[in-house]
Amino acid sequence: MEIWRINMQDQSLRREPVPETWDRLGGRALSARILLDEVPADCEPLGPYNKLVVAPGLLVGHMLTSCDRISFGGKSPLTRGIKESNAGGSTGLYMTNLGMKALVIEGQPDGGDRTGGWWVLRLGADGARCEDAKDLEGLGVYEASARLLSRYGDKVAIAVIGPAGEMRLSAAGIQNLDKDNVPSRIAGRGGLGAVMGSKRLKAIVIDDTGGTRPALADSGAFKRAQKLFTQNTLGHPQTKSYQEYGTAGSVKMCNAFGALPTRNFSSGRFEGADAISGETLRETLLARGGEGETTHACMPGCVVKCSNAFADSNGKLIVSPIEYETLGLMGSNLGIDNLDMVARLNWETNDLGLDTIDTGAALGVAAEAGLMQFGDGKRALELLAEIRRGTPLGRILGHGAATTGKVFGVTRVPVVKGQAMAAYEPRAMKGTGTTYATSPQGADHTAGNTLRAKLDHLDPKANVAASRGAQITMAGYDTLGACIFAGFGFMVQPEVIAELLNTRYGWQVAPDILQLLGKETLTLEREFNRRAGFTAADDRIPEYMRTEPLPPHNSVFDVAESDLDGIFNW
Amino acid sequence: MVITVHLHTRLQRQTPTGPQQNLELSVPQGTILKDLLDQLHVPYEEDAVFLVVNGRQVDINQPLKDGDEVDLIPAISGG
Repeated sequence: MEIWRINMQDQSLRREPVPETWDRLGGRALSARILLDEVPADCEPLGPYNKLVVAPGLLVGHMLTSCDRISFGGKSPLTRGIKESNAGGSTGLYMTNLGMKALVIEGQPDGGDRTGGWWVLRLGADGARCEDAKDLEGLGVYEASARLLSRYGDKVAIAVIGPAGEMRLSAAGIQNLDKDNVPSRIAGRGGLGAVMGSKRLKAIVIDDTGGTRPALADSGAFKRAQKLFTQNTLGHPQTKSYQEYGTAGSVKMCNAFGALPTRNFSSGRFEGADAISGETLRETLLARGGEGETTHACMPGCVVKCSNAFADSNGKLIVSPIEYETLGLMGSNLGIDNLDMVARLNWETNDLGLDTIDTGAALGVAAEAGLMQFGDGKRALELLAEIRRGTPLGRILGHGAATTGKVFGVTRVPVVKGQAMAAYEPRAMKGTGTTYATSPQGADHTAGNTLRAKLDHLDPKANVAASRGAQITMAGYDTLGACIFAGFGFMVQPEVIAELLNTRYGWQVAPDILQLLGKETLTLEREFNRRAGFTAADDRIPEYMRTEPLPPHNSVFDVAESDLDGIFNW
Repeated sequence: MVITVHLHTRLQRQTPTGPQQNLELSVPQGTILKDLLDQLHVPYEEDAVFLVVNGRQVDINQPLKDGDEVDLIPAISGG
C-alpha cells in the first residue's frame, strides 16, 4: 500500500511507500503518528501547516462486518489539540481498493484559506486531480452529493463538507456516503470539516474502478476468522437489540440512570423521554411505513444494522439516520419531546455539515442565554437557518457550545477542551465523565463510554478503571477501523483480532494487540497535546459540574484529580 | 409492598393493545430482585441485562423495598 499526498498549493500528488514506523498502524493510530511526525503542534489549525489525514483502519477493505470505518485526523480548530473523528460509510473501502494506506492533504491554495477557490479532489486508479467546484459553493451536503454523483457516476465514495466547513466553523464535520449513497456518515467531532474547508476542498471523490481489494497473506485462514467473527457478532444479544431499536434504545436507559442531558445539562431526567425513546421510534416507524426503516446498515457487509431511516406521518423520509446522541442533544437537552422535530433539526444540521452533538449543545447554551425557549423546536430551526445564512449569530452557534457560552456570558457550558459532551451526563455516569475529562480528544463518548460497565455509575472510584479500559479498547478499535459494535464479536473471542491481522498482513502479533495499539495511540495523542501546550488543568470537567448537584441523584462529578491525572500511568 | 417495573426495548410485553412497558407489582416483604425476575419470567444473563433500582445499577440479590422503581434493560452500549 501507499501514502498519497496531495499538496493543495500546487495541486500535486505524490505517491510514496509507507515508512516502516507507520506500517503496522492504521486509522486513528496512523493519523496520530503522521500528525506527530509532520505537523507542528503549535500550528494554526486553519493554516497551511496543518494537515488533514484520511486513514482507513487496519482491517478495512474486506467488508468484515462493522470494520470498514474511516478516520479523519488533524489539529482541531475546536480543541486546538489532536483530533481524530471516524465514520462509517464507503470512503475507507474505496480508498483501500486503490491501495491507499492514508491520504494526507497538505498546504493551501495561493490566496490562503479565504480566497483560494473551491475544489473537488478526484482520486482514481489513474491518480488524482483537482477540479473546479465553484458550482458547489454554499450547497448543503445533500445537494452537493447529488450533483457529484451525477457528475462522477454513482459508483464512487464521497467525503464532502457543507456550508459550515466552507465557513470554517469549529463544529463542522465531514460527511461520507453510506452504502446507499446518502451523505449522512459524519466524521463530526472537533471541526475537521473546517480544516478541510481551510484547504479549499469541498469534496473528495474516490472512484475505485480498476482497483482491487487489499491482498490477503492467507486467504483461507482470513475467511475462516471472518466467518467466526461474523457468527459471534450475529449471535451476541446486543446485536438483536440494535437491529430492532438502534442506538435510540439508549434514551430510556440513560433516563433511568439519571444521565440523560436535559435542558442544557441541568437535569439527568427528562419528562418527555418516552416520546423520543427507541421504543416510540420503532413503533412510529412501523406504524407509518413508507420510506422509514427500523434497521439499516451504514457500511456494506454490516450485520448489526444499528441505523434507521426516519419518515414523517406520510411515510416520506425526513432524515437517515436518527441516532441516540442527536435525540439527547437536540431532544432532551433542548427540552424537545417530538421525534419529527428532532428529525428535522437533525436533517438541517447534517445538511450544514455540522456535528449534531456540538450544535445541540450550543443550542442548549443559547437557550440558557435566552436566545430560545427550551422546547421551542421552531425557534431552534430558525437558529440553524442563521448558521446557513452565515450571520454573526449563526457563526457563533456553528463554532459550538464553548464559543456560544463565551459570547453570551453563560458559565454552564458542557465542554472539555472546548468540545461538547455527548448524551451522557458526567455527574451520573462518572466513567464516561472520566473519559470526557482525560481523553486527548476532548469530551467524546466514542473515546471510551462506560455505559455498559457492570458497576454503580455514581461511584467515583470504580469508574476510573472502567474509563481507562474503555479508552484503551476504543483507541484500539479506532485503529482497526472497527465500530464499537464490532466489539460484540470481538468480546466473545478476543483472539480473533490477532488472527484477522495475521492472516491479512502475514504478521505474528499476539492476542494483546488491541491493548498495545490502544495504548500506543493514546501515548502519541497525549504527546501531541503536550507539545501543543496542554497540561493536567485541561483534563477537568467544568467547575459547575463539580459543585452543582444534578437531579435526580443530586450528584456532582467527584472523581479525584489524582485519579484523573494518573489514568494513563500504565 | 408495591414495586414499579419498567421494561425496556426487547423486554416490553406485547399485548393486544400494544406494547406494555410499565408494571406495578405487589410483592411480599423480603423480595429480592431475583425473585422479581423469576416472577416476570425474565431470563437473566449477567452481560445481557442491566438491573437498575432507583437509577442505580445493582446486582441480582438486591433487596427490594416498597416504592422501588426497577428498570430491566437489555444491555446496549450507547450510541
